Amino acid sequence: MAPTDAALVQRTLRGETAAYNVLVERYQRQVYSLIYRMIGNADDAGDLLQDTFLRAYSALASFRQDASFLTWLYKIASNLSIDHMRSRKTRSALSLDLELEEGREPAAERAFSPEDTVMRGAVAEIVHNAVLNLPARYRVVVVLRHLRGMSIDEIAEELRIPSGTVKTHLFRAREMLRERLRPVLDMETDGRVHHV
Amino acid sequence: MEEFTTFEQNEFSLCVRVRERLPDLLDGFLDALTAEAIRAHLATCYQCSRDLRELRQTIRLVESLPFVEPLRDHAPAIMAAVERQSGHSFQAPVVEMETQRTLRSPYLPRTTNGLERHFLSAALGLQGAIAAVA
Repeated sequence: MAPTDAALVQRTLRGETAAYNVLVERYQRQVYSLIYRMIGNADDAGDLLQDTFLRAYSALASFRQDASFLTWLYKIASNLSIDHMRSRKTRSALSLDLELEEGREPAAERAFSPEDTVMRGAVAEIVHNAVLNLPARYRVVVVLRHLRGMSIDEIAEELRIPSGTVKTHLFRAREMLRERLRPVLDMETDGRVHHV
Repeated sequence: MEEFTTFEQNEFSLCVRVRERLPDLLDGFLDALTAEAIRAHLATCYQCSRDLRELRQTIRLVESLPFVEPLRDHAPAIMAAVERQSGHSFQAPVVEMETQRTLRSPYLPRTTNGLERHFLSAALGLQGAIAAVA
């Protein structure tokens, strides 16, 4: 029987770094996926994945044994991704704080390298690109709400913006996604596509 | 004719208000009476019910996105970095302190350096800093 997360954390805290390796192997896919959905760049996602596990390792003593280790990793990864978007010297990322506070119009559509668009299934790729093409402020709330399952209030607290702003961003994001996914929605309605 | 136009306008206005509340309906933010009224409208309005269906489909498509597989196994690099760190004492939680949040505040003057921003925010508090800038 595989050891529990809590047991592996305890063993790591006692100095058994091999136990931490098991946690890394167990959760790197999920954490990488969340980061990649938020920032849309494979190289940066790899760097942030490493940062996430290093942060978690450094702060392991503070991990509550009754909590979910994956949820804890998700929180660290989300915060690092948001900080990354805030600090990157790009047009869209520089203004994330402003975007979160205000209602700036979407940046132009982005180009994707072949490496970044490695996805299985045409529909999944369309949905993935639709999410990535959202303005940063909308993309963040969509990922936190629909891929991390956070509540509106939790997102507001994490992003430090009012709950009403989160709801507005989510509303607009879903509207934009609906328009961009129109061909898929029509295909589903016609019965040509049943699932991603 | 005028009555018919007014009726159409009222219907349109109702549809606009219903569509604005559809996300709240899905998220369970509506009180029972409002939710019931919206469901009654949806039962008779093709456009609004189509909007709700498409909203549900859109959310389901996003939530059913598969994992994005890393292009390589990152565990060796992560563990190498961990080994370089091993021997350190395990630290306090990764919790951002209020002072750190304040230091990042867009309301503090951009011209101040980190130390000045620290003392300014500590001395004045956020509201005071806003007033000072204003």
